[in-house]
Amino acid sequence: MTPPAASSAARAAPLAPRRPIAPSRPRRVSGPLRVPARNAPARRAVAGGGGLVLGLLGWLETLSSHRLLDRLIRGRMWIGIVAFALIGIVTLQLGLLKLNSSIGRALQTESRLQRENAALSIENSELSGGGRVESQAQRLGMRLTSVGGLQFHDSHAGSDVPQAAAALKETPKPVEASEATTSEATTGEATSSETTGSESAESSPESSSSAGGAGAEGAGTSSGASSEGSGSSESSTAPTGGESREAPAPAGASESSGEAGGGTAAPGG
Amino acid sequence: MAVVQSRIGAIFAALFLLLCFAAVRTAYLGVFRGAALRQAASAQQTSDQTVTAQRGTITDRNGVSLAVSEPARDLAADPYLLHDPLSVAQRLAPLLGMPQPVLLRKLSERTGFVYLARGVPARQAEAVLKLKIEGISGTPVMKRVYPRGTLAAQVIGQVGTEGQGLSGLELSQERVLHGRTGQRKVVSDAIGQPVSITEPHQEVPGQPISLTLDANIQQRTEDVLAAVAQAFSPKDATAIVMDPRSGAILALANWPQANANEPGAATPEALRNRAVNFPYEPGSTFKAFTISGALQAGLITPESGFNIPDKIQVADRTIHDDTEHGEETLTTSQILARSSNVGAIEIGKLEGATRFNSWVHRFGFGAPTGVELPGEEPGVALALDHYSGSSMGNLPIGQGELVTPMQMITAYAAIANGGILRPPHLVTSVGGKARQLPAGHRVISAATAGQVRHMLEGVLGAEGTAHEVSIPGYSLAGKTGTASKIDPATGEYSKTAYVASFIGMAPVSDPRLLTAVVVDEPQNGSIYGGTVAAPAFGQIMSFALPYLGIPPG
Repeated sequence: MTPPAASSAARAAPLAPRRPIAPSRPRRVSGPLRVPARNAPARRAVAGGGGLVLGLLGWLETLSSHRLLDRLIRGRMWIGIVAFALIGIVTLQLGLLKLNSSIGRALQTESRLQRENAALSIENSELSGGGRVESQAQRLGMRLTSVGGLQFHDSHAGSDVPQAAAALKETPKPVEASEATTSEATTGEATSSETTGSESAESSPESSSSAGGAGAEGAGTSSGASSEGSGSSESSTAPTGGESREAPAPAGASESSGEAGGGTAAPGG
Repeated sequence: MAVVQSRIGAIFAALFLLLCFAAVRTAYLGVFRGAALRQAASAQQTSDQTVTAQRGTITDRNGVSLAVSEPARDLAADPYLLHDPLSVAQRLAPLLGMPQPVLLRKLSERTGFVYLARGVPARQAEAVLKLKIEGISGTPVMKRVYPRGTLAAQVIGQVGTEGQGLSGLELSQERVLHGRTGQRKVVSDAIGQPVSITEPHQEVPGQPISLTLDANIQQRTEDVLAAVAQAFSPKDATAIVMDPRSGAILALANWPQANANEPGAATPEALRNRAVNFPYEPGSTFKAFTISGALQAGLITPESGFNIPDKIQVADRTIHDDTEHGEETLTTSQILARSSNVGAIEIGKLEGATRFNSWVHRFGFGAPTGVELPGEEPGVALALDHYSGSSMGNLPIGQGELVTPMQMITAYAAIANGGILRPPHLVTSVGGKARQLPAGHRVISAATAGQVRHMLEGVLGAEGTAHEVSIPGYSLAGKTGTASKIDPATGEYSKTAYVASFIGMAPVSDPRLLTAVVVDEPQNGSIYGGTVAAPAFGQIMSFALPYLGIPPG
């Protein structure tokens, strides 16, 4: 028996599987064609003529919707970045404080060194005083060379160095301070034999010093010049002392003029 | 679940309340108390410091310090803040090395500020400030110290209490020595450690100066002058040692001496630098220039003969030689060696006033030499239109004109170095950079200079006025001078007051050293350049020549 068509359709309908009912919302529509963002600023620039500022604004807008930035914000990486920046700032501040503190210490050190340098300069200058060096040298048995005893030699490159080395090996005999004073007080007797061995490799007693030379040595005393001046002026063989040959009387004014018969009263003369 | 959520909420609320409290507190401190707190912080933490510039060091040619600045402090007190001046005086007196009564008097003054001591060395000052006595404070300054005391005191000069140069090189080189004071702002933490240092104005230290002086030659020259003073009791004396090839001054000594560290203890006379501000009539030492001019003009030669009586009449004046003698024939060399007044006047007459006057100015007289010392006198060189009929009777023999020792040695340096007149100088370098020396100019030919040097040798020869001065192995040349001084009371030349001088060089063939000694009013029976000044020259050169390794010649 064949069922009727209507009843077959009715009977067929309940046998078909029931499909889910579509939601009431409309299907997502792709929407109109969107112009790429990179073209928009150009178009804006071309269209409006706003120039660089508008272009920059457009670029910033694009950047704000960049995929990488989106991922960054939505992700957890930014926590690490901010933490790193904060730690860095604190570290920087601490470093700056340490630097300032070390600058302060450096300035204090600078002041201290300045003070010490000045004190050492002063001490060095005082210690290198001629009078002090002479008296110390005298205590060690040294004395100033008499002018006549100083020898000057021509240099010879090949032979001078070995000779000088040989001379240095010989230890000079220290001269007693009293002997030095006595010998130098005697005028006109200084000879090169009085020179110490260290002064010349070969001494030759050629020159005889005048008392001017001997007197000028200062007799090994720190105030030697004082004794020179007064001592040598009395010595018969001293270059000092004695009157000028041409000056018998002060009234004659040996080398002055204008004192007789209307001397010039004033330099305007 | 609800319990957990309520606890979370409670914790959040508590933290939120704390945050609110912190925000309110911050707002209160920052807005309402901000100004007062900022002021208090500034007063407690911030200090403005003056950074005193260190004055440049002055050294000799070998690096020996002659003037050094050391950090120091001016210590002051506010007596109004002192509770117990007696106790403070007892504690500070031994540290400052001051008598306790003196200190107590200062601390008891009715004033808000009184100096206790100025220029206290830094170490000593720190010992005082470490006591942390309220009312006692210290201002950083620089103290000038002269380690060698009297050495070249008149040359180096002094500085005032405010650190400014007052005399000598300290004054003339003030611009390079002074430097610039700086300002420093320091922010300190609670324990006084600086946490921020800024310098709105950076301190610039003064530049060091190196001199041409040699401390050892300077010391020896001063010792010789002291000996001259002891022997001849002069009014004062000065000596200059120079390298004539360059004009470098190796020594410049004055007597009486002064201690640069105690300028207040010295007389004004002792502080005077006679080398540049003692104009005097040079006397016979000037004859070398009279003769140089005539030689250069070709009017005479060293062998030219002159008939020389013992006196000569020029206008209304009669000028004598130092010794009576009959008419004799003397060569130019003999005129110079014997220092004949008549001979020099004859040569001057040959030159004529115009030519003679031009030579005087050509040798630099009548103008400062340009040495780096303040207060240099130009001397007096008579203008040609002021010459009188008798001027050529005294000018050629060194009377009627005023010169300084520095001018004389500078002019003699031209004879010594072959004819070049060079400005003398004391400063070698500033801040490590060599100072460019002004070029000299030729005044006489090398041949003329050589002839004059050879003639000047005769002064120390057998016939010369300084024949007793010799240095073994070395050839010497020079000229003595004994010039009458004007008596200010009468306006006439004095018969008792003279200036004795000697200027000499060695070795004659190539002079490496030139020395001038000028002694004002020597006494004790000797007034002559040959007996007073020439021996001093010999003593100075006896030391300096071998010291500098100048071989005999």
